[in-house]
Amino acid sequence: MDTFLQLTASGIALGSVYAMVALGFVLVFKSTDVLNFAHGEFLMLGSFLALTFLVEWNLNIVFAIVAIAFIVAALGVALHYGIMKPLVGQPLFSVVLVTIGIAIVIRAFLLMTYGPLERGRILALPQGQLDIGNLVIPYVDIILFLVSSAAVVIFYIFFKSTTIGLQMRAVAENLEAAAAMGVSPNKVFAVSWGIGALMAGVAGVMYGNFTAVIDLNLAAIGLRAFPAAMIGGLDSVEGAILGGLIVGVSEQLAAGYFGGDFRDVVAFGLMFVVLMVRPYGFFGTKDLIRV
Amino acid sequence: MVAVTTIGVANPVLEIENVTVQFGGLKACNDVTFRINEGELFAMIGPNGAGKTTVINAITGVYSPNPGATIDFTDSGGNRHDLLGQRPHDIVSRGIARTFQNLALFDALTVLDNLMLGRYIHSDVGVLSGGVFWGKALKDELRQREVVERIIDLLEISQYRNEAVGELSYGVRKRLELGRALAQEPHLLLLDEPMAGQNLEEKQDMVRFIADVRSELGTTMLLIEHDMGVVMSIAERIVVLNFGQMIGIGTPEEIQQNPDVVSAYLGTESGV
Amino acid sequence: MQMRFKRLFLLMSVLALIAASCGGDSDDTTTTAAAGGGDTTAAPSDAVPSSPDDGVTDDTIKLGFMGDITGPTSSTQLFFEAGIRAYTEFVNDNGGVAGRNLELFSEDDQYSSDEATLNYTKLVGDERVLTVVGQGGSSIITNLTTQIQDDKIPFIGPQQTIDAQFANPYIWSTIAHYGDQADIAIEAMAGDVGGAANLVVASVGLEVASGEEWAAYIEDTAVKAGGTYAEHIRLPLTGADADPQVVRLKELVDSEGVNYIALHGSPGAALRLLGSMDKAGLDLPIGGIFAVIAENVYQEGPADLLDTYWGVHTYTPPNISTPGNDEMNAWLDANGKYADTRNNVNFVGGWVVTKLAVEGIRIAAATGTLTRASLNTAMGTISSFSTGGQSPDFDCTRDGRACGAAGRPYDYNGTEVVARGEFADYASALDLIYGLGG
Repeated sequence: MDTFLQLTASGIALGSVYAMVALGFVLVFKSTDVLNFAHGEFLMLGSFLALTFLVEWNLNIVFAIVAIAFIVAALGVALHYGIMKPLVGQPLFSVVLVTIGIAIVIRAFLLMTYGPLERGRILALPQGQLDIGNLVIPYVDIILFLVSSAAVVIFYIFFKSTTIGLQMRAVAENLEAAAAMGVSPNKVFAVSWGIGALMAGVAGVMYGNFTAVIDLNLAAIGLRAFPAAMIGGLDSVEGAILGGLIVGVSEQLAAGYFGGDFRDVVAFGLMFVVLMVRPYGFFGTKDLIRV
Repeated sequence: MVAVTTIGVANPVLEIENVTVQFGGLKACNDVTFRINEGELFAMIGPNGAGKTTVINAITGVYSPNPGATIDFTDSGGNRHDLLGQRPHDIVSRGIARTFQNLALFDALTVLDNLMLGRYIHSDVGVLSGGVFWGKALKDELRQREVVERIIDLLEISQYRNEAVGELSYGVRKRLELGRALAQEPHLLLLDEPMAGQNLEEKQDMVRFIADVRSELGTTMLLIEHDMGVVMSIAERIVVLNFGQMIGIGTPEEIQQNPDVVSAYLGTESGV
Repeated sequence: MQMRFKRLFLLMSVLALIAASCGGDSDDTTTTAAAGGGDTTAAPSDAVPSSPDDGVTDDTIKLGFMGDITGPTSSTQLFFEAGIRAYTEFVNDNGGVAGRNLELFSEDDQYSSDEATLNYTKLVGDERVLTVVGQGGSSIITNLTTQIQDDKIPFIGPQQTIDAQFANPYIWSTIAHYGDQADIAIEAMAGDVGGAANLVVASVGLEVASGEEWAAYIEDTAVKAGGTYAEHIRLPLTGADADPQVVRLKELVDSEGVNYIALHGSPGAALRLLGSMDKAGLDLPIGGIFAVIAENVYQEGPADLLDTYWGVHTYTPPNISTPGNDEMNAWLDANGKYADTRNNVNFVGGWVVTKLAVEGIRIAAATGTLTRASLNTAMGTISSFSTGGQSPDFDCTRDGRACGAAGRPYDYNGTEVVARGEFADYASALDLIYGLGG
């Protein structure tokens, strides 16, 4: 039982990062119909920038999060106007390949700037742990969960209650009708790319405080966003959050009970099972499967 | 029905000349030419596939006509705009609103949200301030809400205000789509078969709403409709399309006596 | 549009052909002259005939490197490649070998087997290199082993050591086999806990074939020495943390009294394990394979765990003074080269394996023919080659061509990596029995 609780606690912390990452991934897909395979690289960029801001320059972590969120969001917007916008209407596959290209460029940039050596965990958050009986929960995990939850809640309010959020939902649902309302799809696409990247960037900063190693394999977290998003429903914001938590917890449980090699198996295995029962995920739109 | 024509027959709102839209070898509409004057209810009729919706899509920038076409729009301030080559969302902001033949509502959103989206072009908050909900953005939202509430009253849909649109009946959704177009406070309203798929009572309601809108707001309208009775009773002028060709234009009386129109319609009378 | 491209392409192809044929001509003339001049300066024994099919032209000897320079394991292999490159430059600075300069052809595979197979064809088939030095990637060499035997191309000093290498008569291993590393690690662990009887060890390893090999050797060695082996815990190649593995370790500490971890992994994997142990408050000593000794682990890892963290290595980190390291550092200082890569034990690894390859070339050249075949034969005659303390003396006459079947643990004293004793201190621990991993 102790083991179970311990693994679950760790899984929730990890899952909240996945949720944040999956949310950005889903948002970009929902608004722009682009499966962004560079999403993990946005996260990795956030983690490496955190190294510069927090370890090299010793800046305040709140300032660092805001600054990095801004930088990564600006990159997302720039990518939209510079690269993705001219590709509107191109086949899905070409657009996906372009995002893979963006991923390679970001990775190469980081390799050239930061070198190939692994860096350790960022220690900008309070260290230490909370002991509840036999359960040990590091402060870092708690803060990670709180920040992710806050980011998700802020995003949710933004998405559901503001004018621009309403436009985003409109464009996501019916591009033609949104244009008939005078909504410029491009502006909304740009905002979606910006916010999607921002979520990944903030997740990257937090993840840099959580993971023991910051290296160029970090982008693999982006791969976790995929089963998380698929389980929740590729076009559902609520689904992304739930999917992220499910993947995080089940991964830690599987790795703890069956061994580390079950980590990937469980995330993707779960995805296949969910897709067999509900091809559109827990919260997804049924129509999506005809795509 | 209403003596709106006195407002000035000479003030054109929309002038269309030689509009041809071609898909591969098929001309969906060919050399369509007409003008709509301010305050007028102008109807476009013709059998299915005659190219009526294509003309609307050409006006709204969804399709680009062949070279040599003219589509000029004069807005409420008297400024003339060449609509050719403009993007759909830019054309909308000039003051042209439309409804869709097969409905293009946001099914997952509420009635209120759908109507609020109609106010988009009149909202003056930017991308960044639109992301918050206090100060200027809040004031703007309240102003837009006033307009939306008036439309809700006019169209008698207040009981559905917070329901998701996907749950509503077809008739109510048709009405809502008209409401959303009205929320845009357009200078020119393009109605693509607003009565299609409705029962008699709903059709009568819709005719009443259109008449109310004209008498209260004086909005210029282009109406596509299949129901001859409705068209003949409310339109001031009519253009008839058949296989993309214009085969007649004029007042309802003139159209009823046009031999080309009569022969084109005899073959498809049952479908009308 | 397309027509224009096609024509342009055609034009370029023709130009390229012309350039290639002209280049060929001029090459021939200049190298003949150079070889003539070379005869006067080089020792007579170096005047071996050229053999272009074996990468020996009139003025150069072609060496190949294939590995992961920019991919997921570049944090090790990049430095290895730099060390190889540095040593070829060092040799060229000092007059070359066999009357020729060394020329290194590097191919990056980013840890992809497909890419590596392509690179192998480029190096061995197209460039016709004499030997491939310091190849990286255990699954890659496993895939290529038949091919290597068919092509009869010597592979000298691959970065890893797995059982498959030992069966191949063209692969000359320099890093101590996992069996040897396990022997040394268990000896050191037993010493730390006051005798093998007190040792309860759990192995932790990356979920790759070599990780399973490591676990098998640790279990075998620990049990034979009279200690207890708990179980093997696998780490995924990448991932957020090692939290689940640490939870299991804590259980093993409680249930079986585990008091040592035998770690197989990359520096990244080590940092993950250390990070999760630190978060969970688990303080266990760790002894690991060669790859866990990396400067960045000591710089980036949690300090309180690192005082009982060490690894067995065959190569001597560059900060430890030995005649070989001193010579290397002096040359690097004098030339101001490799500032970004030189402070890394893998740099020494690359340097050392190239040193061994050059020794083989020298011996082969002395026989009058320098070919892949003669180099392979020459390698088998090296029975005691000193690298000046940068590694144990290489003895390639051993079974399985395990030239470097020795090592010693390295530790961190808070400022730099230090050796725990001499290579000879651990020589008696080696049973030289291999093959447990299958």
